[in-house]
Amino acid sequence: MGDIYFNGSELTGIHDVNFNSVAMDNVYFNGVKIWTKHPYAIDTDIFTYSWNNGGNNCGIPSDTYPLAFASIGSCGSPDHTLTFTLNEGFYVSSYSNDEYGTDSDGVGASNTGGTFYVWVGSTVSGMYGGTGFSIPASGNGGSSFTVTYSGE
Amino acid sequence: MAVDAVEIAQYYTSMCNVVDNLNAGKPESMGDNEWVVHRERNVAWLQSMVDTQDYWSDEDMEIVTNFLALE
Repeated sequence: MGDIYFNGSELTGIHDVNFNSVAMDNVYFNGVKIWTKHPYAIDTDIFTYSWNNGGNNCGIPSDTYPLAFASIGSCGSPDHTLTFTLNEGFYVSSYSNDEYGTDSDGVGASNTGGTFYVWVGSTVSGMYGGTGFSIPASGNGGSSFTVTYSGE
Repeated sequence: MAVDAVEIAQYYTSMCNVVDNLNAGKPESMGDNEWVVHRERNVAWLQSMVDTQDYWSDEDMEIVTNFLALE
């Protein structure tokens, strides 16, 4: 599909499209969606990443999902903490640890952006960041988290 | 998102378990540096749970607050 222009400006996902000074989420033409500001459907789980104690925190798919990441640090083996920051519209919706279970409420009140720390030790692992998870930042065994698109 | 009673109970149990585990000291299987990071992270987590979470009601927080008071 070719590019779409409005008053000489290309409509992209980078710029908002306003109608009567209100930013549109979607633009339809003859009932067909011709533009959306959202790279993913709202509430889409983008990826889940799991890592094990004694392993490493490499392989977070920042190259596969570059829109999700504002930045990501280097990965490593025990004892190492990797730092990443999510762009607005993306959030950690779930965090699990083998010892302590799952926080499926993600970062609580915030569902957009935030900086997170992925920790791997020899016997424990975990993560923390955002506005806080409800399960501990470090526990026995492996851990996992899911990044979801909120569009907000 | 709302946190239900089952989840609150799980989170409270985790807090108490963390306090017990930290009070028990470094496990033999854990390296010195790993223990330092593990302990620091979970102490910070306990503090954030007390300071920022608003879903607590009649849970007995004494075990947690007493632990944090000694930090």
